[in-house]
Amino acid sequence: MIGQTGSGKSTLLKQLLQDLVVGSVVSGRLVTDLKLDNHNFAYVSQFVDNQMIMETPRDELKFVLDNQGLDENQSQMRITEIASYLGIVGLLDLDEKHLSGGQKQLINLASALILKPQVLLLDEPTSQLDPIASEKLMQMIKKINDELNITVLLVEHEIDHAIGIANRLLVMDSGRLILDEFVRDGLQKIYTLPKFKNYLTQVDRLAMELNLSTDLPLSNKKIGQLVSQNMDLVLRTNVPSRTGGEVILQAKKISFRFDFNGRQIIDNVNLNLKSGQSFCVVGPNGMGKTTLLKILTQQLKQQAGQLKFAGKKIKDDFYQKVFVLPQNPAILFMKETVSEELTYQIEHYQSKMSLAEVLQKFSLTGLEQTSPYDLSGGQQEFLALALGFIKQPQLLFLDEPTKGLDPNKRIELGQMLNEYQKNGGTIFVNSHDLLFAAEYFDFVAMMFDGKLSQFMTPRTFFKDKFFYTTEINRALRDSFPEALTWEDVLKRES
Amino acid sequence: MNSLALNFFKRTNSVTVFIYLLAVILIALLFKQIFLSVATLIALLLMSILVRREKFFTYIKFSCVIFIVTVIFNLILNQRGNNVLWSTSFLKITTESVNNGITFGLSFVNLLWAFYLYDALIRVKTVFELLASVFKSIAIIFILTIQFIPKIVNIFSETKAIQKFRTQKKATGIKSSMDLTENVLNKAIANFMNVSDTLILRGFHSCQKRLGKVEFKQIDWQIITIIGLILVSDGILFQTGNIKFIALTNIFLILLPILTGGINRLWWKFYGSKTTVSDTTTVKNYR
Repeated sequence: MIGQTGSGKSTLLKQLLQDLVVGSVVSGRLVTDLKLDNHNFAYVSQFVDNQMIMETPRDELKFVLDNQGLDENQSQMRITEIASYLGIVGLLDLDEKHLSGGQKQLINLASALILKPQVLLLDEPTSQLDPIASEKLMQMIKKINDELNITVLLVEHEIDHAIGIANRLLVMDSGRLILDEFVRDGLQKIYTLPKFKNYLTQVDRLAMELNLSTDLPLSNKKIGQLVSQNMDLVLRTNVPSRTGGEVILQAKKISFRFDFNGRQIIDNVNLNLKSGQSFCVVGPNGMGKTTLLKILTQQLKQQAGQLKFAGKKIKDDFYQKVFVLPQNPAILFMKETVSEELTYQIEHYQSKMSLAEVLQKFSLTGLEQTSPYDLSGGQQEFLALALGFIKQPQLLFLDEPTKGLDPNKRIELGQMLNEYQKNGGTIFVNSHDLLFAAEYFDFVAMMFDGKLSQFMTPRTFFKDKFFYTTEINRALRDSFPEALTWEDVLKRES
Repeated sequence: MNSLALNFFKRTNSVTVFIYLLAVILIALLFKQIFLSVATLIALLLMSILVRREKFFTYIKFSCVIFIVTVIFNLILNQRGNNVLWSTSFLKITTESVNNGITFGLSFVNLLWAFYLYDALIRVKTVFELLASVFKSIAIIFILTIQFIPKIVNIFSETKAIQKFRTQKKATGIKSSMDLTENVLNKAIANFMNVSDTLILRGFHSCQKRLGKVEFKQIDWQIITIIGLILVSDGILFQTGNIKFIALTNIFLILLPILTGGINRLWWKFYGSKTTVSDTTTVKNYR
């Protein structure tokens, strides 16, 4: 199931679990032979960190079974079964703190499946995971669907990994289910709907745009064959590039660790951010991206190395000239309503923009009196971004800004960042959204084990990557190794 | 964690560990005698550093502060005694008051370290099950608190750090602290609701009365018996005034995990591994 942020997908999903329902049904009823409880319907949400109650996966699984009154022998059998099936035996006794995002989501999946449900409800389960972990989780969901014959209802914004395993495609728009078709027909139909065109996978979009095939969804292998057979295609050459100005932020041999004998989270990192340019750091979860951003913005102090802002040591004016949009944008909010948040910011920074202009620009019109905490993830992101742009900082830091954004909002965000950059702003972003990194940034680098690779242009960075790259690059590496998005491959003008 | 202690905690069940921790807290709480308190403190410090090294030095600083503050308060509040060491018009320091102050200071510090061990070793599931069998609502409050407090602390520090980028006003005074706290609580509610949803998903609302049956092995009964015997003998010996022996038994009780682990290690090294496990790498890996 796809649909814009706030279109009612999660609300619909929760209707199937009576204990989670918020509000009341005003009309209609659910028709099912199954009782609407967690014996028949299992639910996994997008909030990776809030779904474990106990300290270890074993305790968590046992907690679920104990609540059902299963005896020791039955519990042991169920845990053995599910742990072996999902390949999590080695994780059972690890402390929750030591599990990665992907591992935690596997445990959440196990906790949901251990009661042998008939239906598995998944609400954006991969939104907080890196691409490799997302792919692994999706493979597991496919296995569950294929082998256990469990019905899966999956809500997602990014359908790249999901579409290959789905039978039907559902589209929600403003609280209404506007499409419910077999995947092939559904994908063709959403291509004709301007609002949902961007939900297509990059591979399918390329096929549709260049009239290569209508037999969707296409695998990377298939599109690779279609493109290599077509002699009329060329690589887009007019890729915009910007030359930067002065170095605005310089980090020299920065190091950081949390424990005395612990892993070096940031290990001797050097970087120079030039004004007017944009930088994106990609990499798996838990590799130090957020810690690096926190050090660069002095939320954490480096234990070794030097940091300079505009050639000088960091002083109080740094906080006036820089804005940080954290992974959880709600951290920034201080007021009761959207309107109060924006008015405070406009007055505080004596901005020339009016409240109405800001609301319109950031798609917040109509939400003036809503509490910032009641906004959807995407709306919160845009409100936080509005607060940042009102401030007009010289340097903007964003931590996983596309998390929870639908494809249209992602594009809007990218365009806003480009506009800010055109006006001289500098951007530093952490993201595991490789497509976003490839589309909107001048330079990309990878963080792994505390080390930061050299910043390179997206084409140089991604062209020799085998696994950690965009779907288009994976599919077309033989014919167009520099192509990163569907827009990079064009029909030759005759 | 030290390998000997780890061996103990792996081989015993959560209830045995809970009983051990209760006994340690009881020892730290009950005996108010300088020699006994010092002996207990040494054992507690040794056990703490072996069990959880990360926060040890932070707690050392904290316990020094606790000790000094307690001694000073005692000297001010309790000025009884005949052997005057030093006196002014408003303060009289006597040997008895110093003795009393140090005893209290050590008791508080011992209690702190006993809870340090408790915090490092207790499993949420054990406390939760014990509470749930008595009163379900308390168990829910416990679980939400356990999940909630670290999150609030985290949100508080993140909000404080990030607000510097939001507003240029320096946050000082009670008003700004209250604003910040209100802010933090607002943000924490969302987390609170997620944890509550998870409890529902895990079926806690419809839970059966009997929660998690714990399996007792021979070693669990042995440890519980030893703990029981030590506590009973402490009670009897304290009345007879045999302080040295009590100190020894208390140290023995606190270090019980290390001693048990040590005995197991020796048994494994000189008997178990030689008689039951082949030295061949492949066989070892297979086993």
